Amino acid sequence: MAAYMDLNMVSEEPANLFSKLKIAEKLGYDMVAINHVVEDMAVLASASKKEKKKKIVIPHPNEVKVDDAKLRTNSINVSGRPFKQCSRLSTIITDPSAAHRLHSPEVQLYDLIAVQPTSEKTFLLACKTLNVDIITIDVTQKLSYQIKRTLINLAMDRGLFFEIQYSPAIRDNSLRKYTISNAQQLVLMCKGKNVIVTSGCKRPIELRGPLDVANLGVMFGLTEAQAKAAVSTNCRAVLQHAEARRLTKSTIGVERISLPITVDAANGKQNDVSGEPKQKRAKIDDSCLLKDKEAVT
Amino acid sequence: MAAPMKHAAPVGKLVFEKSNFNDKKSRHLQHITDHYFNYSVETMLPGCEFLPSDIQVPLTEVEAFVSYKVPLAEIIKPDFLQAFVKRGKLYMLSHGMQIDTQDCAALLPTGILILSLTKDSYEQLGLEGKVANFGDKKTCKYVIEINVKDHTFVPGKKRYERIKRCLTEHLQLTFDFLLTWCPGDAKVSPASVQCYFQCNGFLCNRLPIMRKQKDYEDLAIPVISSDNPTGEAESCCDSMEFYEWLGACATEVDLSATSLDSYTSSYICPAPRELKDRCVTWTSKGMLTCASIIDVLTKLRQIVQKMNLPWVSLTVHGFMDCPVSWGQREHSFYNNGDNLYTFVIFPNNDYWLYSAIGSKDVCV
Amino acid sequence: MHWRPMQKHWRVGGHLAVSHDFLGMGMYEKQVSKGHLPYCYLKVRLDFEEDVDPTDIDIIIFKHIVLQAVQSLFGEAASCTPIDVLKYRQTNREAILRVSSRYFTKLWASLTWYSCYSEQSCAFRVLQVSSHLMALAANSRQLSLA
Repeated sequence: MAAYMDLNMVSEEPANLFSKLKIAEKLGYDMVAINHVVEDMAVLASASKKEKKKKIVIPHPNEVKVDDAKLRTNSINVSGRPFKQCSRLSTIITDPSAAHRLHSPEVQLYDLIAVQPTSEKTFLLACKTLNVDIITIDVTQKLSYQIKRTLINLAMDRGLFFEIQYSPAIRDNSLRKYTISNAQQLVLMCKGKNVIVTSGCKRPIELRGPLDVANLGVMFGLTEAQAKAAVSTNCRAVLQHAEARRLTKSTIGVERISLPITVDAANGKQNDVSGEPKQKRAKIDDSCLLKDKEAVT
Repeated sequence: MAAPMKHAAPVGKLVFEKSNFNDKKSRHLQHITDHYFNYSVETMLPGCEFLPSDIQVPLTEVEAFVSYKVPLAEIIKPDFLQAFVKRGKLYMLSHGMQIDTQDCAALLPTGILILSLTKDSYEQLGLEGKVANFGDKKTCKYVIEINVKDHTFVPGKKRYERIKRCLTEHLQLTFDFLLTWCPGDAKVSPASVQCYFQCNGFLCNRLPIMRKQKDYEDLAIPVISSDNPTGEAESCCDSMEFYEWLGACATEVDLSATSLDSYTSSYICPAPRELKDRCVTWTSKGMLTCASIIDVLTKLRQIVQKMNLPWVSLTVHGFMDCPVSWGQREHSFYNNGDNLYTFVIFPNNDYWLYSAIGSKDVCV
Repeated sequence: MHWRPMQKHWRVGGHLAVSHDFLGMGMYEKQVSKGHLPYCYLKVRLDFEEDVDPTDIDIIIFKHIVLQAVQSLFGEAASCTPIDVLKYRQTNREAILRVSSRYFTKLWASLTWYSCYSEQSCAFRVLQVSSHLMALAANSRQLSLA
């Protein structure tokens, strides 16, 4: 069983975010993903062409995250365990033609990329071709498309994961029925595999502990082992998938495995990378990707 | 129903045993000595005016320590093995790590070093182990068992060198350890192990033992009879209800209610009951040794006869994040890490023994 | 002495094994309950986003909140199941709840979804769960070395 993670924590101003991380740590999470939400890629694409003024700027992942030094020093490690963060970008795709924007360098800089399809067409696109890690299932309204097993299998073969958020229903009780029914639809179709349950919380009070969330998973139709995997092992697999995604365009990528979750058993002591051969890499046909990688590591 | 929960599985298991201390085949001592890591001890003495002074002595004498940031490679050093593991009973347990998501380690007094590792650590370490038997295949943890007391486990031998290399070069596993040492030679002080760690440059402090005593006045207690645990005769209580009541005492639930019609709770002391003027309970928390618990048990057996009490109880809680429950049986944490046992001791040398473990653990 | 094994099964339900052994003087009995034990116990705490006067929420209101949580998710039928507040400490709103193990998952889920009491945001923190009340008496994860 890997560490508990919450791969969706909506980003906001640093002070609030920091208090959220503190709560997450207290509740027993070892890692969170700070989520930067871009409402619609289509707006972004068109704006960048026509009206330069209105262009939405995607911030660098480091601006989204809490300062690493602050995280380490500011006594957030109450239990002495290492606490980690990573960056995530999510967007809603309404227009299939704008989806290529996801492959742009500034988007690919993020550790995780998630999309939320809104129609049959975009769901197909997300499952079949989009180079992302997470497909978010909308839990705030009735699904406008049908979840088909063939598409799910396609996505699972590509190692994609489906995300269910629980905190929209905590914010607004009336959304529970959509959360439960959409989640149950999904679980029925994917047989409980490749599901992650995340918070998507805006305020600290909306966060729930990992075991509470696993218990919700049981309510969505997962078995107990699957439910626990949905907050731990599956999240770890998402991170590995993301790592692989960023390497796919290269012919060879050699580097010391430094997944954010591989940590020593010691209190926060991390693998000492010094003395290891520097990150070696064969020629990469996409120069921007190389830049990404360096920026990330 | 909108949300069927057909998958909901049991939360825990309970084993109830009834036997007699004088029985030659009685396994009560085995049961205590096999439960290596004890966090808390609780006793209840109903009808006891005052607490006999000598009863707590065994527990206050326990010398437990906590040693910080000790690499595992340090534990397999020949000096250490020779001085402590082979000359007494050394109990070591990693502290602050959670068994369900993190690496844990324990050194049993039998000389078995148990590592319960996450997949990442297991693959980096490169030692052979087996899949832990909780969770499904994908979500697994791995368990590695190393017998450090084995006469072939010495420097120069292939296996020793390999394990040493793995622990120093591949993955430097480091833990904070809780530890106690019972020397085989009575002349040697148990604190020598603290000296050893301090001399080798590790911070090693004494682990204090917390004590708490609570006295009850005019408490209604259930009537039980040692040879009738099912409570069929209606002159005594069912042993399961009784166990719940003991739990209610231990968690300090208000036991004064006698009727069922309360809005907040329908729990009442099981019938038939009798009123006792005074009852004494006390708790010790820390890291306690099996030997001291056996001493307490022996003293309680004398007290229950000498003071003419209906029964006394002794409850021992293990550590939630311990890789083993009894002996080398694997222990896990799904949504609780229960491993505890309760003795109910009767004046006629009969005893009841309840052992509670988590749902994924192997039964005792 | 003639000895006949007792055939009576315990009412703990689920799979259970009853074994008897004739050992020397006394009779050895062993009962293993692997199935659902009758009850589950939860140690919970109610946290508010802003500081709330501890006197505001007494045990009656607390019980009401728990029932409200169950009713809003599972409806009238589920809120009729007996849920007992065995112990409640008003200063930090910490309680021990007892529920039949069949409704355990439902009660837990209801507590997880609960988010608002009289227009104040709040959350139930489930601290410990067990099918043995005795197990809630100690929590080794709280052992501090200070």
